Amino acid sequence: MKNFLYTALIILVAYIAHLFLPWWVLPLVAGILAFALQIKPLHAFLFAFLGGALLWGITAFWIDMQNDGRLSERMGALLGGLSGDAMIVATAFLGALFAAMGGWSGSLGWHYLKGE
Amino acid sequence: MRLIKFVIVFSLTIVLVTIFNLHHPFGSNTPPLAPLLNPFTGFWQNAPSEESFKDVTLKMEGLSGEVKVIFDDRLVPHIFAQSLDDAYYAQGYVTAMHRLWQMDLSVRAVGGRLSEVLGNRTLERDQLQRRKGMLAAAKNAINSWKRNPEEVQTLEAYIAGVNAYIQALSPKTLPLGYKILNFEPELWTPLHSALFSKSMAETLCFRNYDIRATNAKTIFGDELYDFLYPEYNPQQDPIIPANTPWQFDSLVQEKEMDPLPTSLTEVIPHRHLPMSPEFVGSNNWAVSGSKTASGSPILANDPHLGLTLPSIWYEIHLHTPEMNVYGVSLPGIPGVIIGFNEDIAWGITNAGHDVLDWYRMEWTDKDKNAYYLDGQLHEVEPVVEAIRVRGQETVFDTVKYTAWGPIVYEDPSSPYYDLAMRWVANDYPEEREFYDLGAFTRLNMAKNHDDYVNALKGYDSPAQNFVFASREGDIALRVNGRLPIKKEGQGRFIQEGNTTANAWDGFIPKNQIPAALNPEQAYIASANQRSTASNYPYYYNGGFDDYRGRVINRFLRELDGVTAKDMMSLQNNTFSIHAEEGTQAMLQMLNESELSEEELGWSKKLADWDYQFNKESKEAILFKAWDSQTYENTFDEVMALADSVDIQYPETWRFISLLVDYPTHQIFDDQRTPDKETAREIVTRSFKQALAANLEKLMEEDYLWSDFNGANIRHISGLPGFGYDRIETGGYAHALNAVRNNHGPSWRMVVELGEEVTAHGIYPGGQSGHPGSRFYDNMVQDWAKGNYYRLLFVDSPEDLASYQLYQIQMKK
Repeated sequence: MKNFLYTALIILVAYIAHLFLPWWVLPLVAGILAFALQIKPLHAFLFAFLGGALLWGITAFWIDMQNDGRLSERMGALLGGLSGDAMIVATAFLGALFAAMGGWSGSLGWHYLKGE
Repeated sequence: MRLIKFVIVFSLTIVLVTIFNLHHPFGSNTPPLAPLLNPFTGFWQNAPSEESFKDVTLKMEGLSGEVKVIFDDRLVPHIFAQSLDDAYYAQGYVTAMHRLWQMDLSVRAVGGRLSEVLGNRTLERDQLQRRKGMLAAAKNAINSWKRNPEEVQTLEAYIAGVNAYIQALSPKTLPLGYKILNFEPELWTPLHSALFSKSMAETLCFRNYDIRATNAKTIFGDELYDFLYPEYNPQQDPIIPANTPWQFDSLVQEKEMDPLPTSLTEVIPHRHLPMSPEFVGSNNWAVSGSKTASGSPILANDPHLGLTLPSIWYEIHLHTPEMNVYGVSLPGIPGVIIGFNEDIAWGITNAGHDVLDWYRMEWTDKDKNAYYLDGQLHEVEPVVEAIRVRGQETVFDTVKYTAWGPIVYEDPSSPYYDLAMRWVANDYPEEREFYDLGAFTRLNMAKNHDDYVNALKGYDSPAQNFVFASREGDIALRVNGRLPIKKEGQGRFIQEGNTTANAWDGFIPKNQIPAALNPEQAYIASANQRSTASNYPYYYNGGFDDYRGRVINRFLRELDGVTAKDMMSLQNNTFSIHAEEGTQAMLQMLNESELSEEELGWSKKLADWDYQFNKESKEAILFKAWDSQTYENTFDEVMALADSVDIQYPETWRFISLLVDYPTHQIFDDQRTPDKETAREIVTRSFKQALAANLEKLMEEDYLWSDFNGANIRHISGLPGFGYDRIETGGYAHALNAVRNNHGPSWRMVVELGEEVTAHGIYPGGQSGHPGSRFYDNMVQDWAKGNYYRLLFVDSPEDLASYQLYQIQMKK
């Protein structure tokens, strides 16, 4: 349960933070939340991965749908011939990767300080 | 152990974040991946939804009243303002809103400031632009505008509008181009606008053949040169009807030119500067009411320019108490460039006169800081150009200005001579009432022929054929611009720069430029051909089109009861006199007894061809391939030199006239074979070669003429996926629908000046320069099919109600 709360909090807090701060706020948020919620390292990685993927992926998907995929198709062609859908996947993956790394770091930091 | 684990993962995270934040995976001019893909500020934010077209009210500093901007269903802004300044302010704002990136990039390109944002890969290009004096020329233009407070006011209002948009940008709303190339826009200044106007001069009147012609003459000798390269095609139908009387004498002091300097006997080692393609030109015509079905004059114009996304043109409608004008504008320049108002319509094509000459400077010593002129020693004026380069130190280049103009070429291997460029666009105009900007704002408000003539007095460069029609029933055309007064043949070849006797004799006064009002033929047309018949008192030379003008005249002479629809189909006409004359000349020479069954079949097809370059035409492919092959085999002497020196190519029309009139001339002998060929052997051999090389394309059903012609629309900075690699459309360089590669009709407009002005138009692009917008390229396919849109020329915002997409209300 706590793990899903962790995912939901990443999405919520990072979403708000993204409105004011550059992209790297995502791993930062995931890390702080993992630390504060005392998430286990493997779980931190997996559930932050999920949170990052959902936040970036759904946002990109939503924008893309309203745009009829016009821009993602062009950007995909620019970045080596990817499809518009692949651009959404790539975006989601980047979000996932950075949230996961941030969450994992935060969790390991808590583990270390706990000193067991 | 836990510490180590934490340190490893944490460090890895920091490294990854840093890499994705700073590393440029696709080269130094591309953005790091994470900021670009971040859906909250990256490229995704440049993908607008329908929601973005919601009415807004903006508070604007710098307005004097309220402005309503209504965007119609093609995103054309209709600006309703209470004063001219407010209208230009709003024009600046909406143009920047849709085209800022394009404005920025074009101005950097012309002024030699690309390297500032693109790094050293554009350094050489920037240096050349500075050496051509583009930046200096733009500064001259501003200084001239400054002499007229009204022009300053117009420009400042426009610029304030552009900057209001720029200042409201945030990392999230930055146009996509900035995100991709990873830099930020700077504020717009008068210099930016001046540079944009110089970019038009560069596109339209930079063409010159001096170096190539001098080389050809040196290599082939006078006799063969004159035979292969006559000055112009006597078959051209001039723009101003041949029976127009001229009531004045030439002001030229001395008609005869000194012969080519004897010292110029060596081939010029310099490569020709890059130029826009030959006959980047256009069609325009006006038909008098006596020839139209409605009895009202009709005006048509289609300027042929580079086809890009975003397009060079931005459609706009400006409405104030004293002005109601509609047409296309250039992003960066206030007002309408081609268009119409409630009383008149006007259009432009390029005049093509040679207004750029090269002079060979004689240095006093190897330092190249002083030269001789009329026996006197003169010092050069050095101008240090600082070129900032992204990612490295600023590069300084000293450009030397002589009495003629800048030394563009400095050749270390030639200690005593270099070439200086004399170009009209670099001039500082003489003092007068108003200048280029004032010319267009006056034209925008002109009510009749007198206003039109008066407005054009302020216009210098690039010289254009301004066609005109009024609701009063007048039609007219003026070859308007700063046209040098030349001696016979002056400027065809490089001239000695050591005597002022080689200078132009001033400029043709504006009341003596080629012009016509209501000619007997009841129409007036231009398509970049020569301005006048040989009875015009002044000598001029240049690059002039041989075929389109004749096609227009052929059709307009015959037509009666003309409708706007007829004019649209004429603009889309793909018939070519070049193909007609070329095919007939080559078929005449073709030795059928040497052809196989299959070859004979194809030659029969060509014989039955209607010379239309439809997009499906196989004959068009075969003709073009055969024509090119025959040309290359005929002028093998010229082709063989092309790699080692810059050399002039004989003109297309001359090639055909050689086939017809001199089929046994030595030029047809192919130097690469032991045989002695005549036109007959060359034409036949070329037919076989062209057919063999293209048979597959001719047999393949899906391969179209438009593929062979290479019709495409490229993105302004060549980004893959942002343009069209192929457009399925007919047309040919020498047809009225002059589509070739990524050149062609960049705006088609037909205006009927009846009781109510009705107008149609289209351009191959879209109003928005944002690649994520559905208005980025929404007109392309209709353009390719030859369709037009009715232009919504209205008198009040209410008339637009049923077409309105959304509106911006601007309040002070």
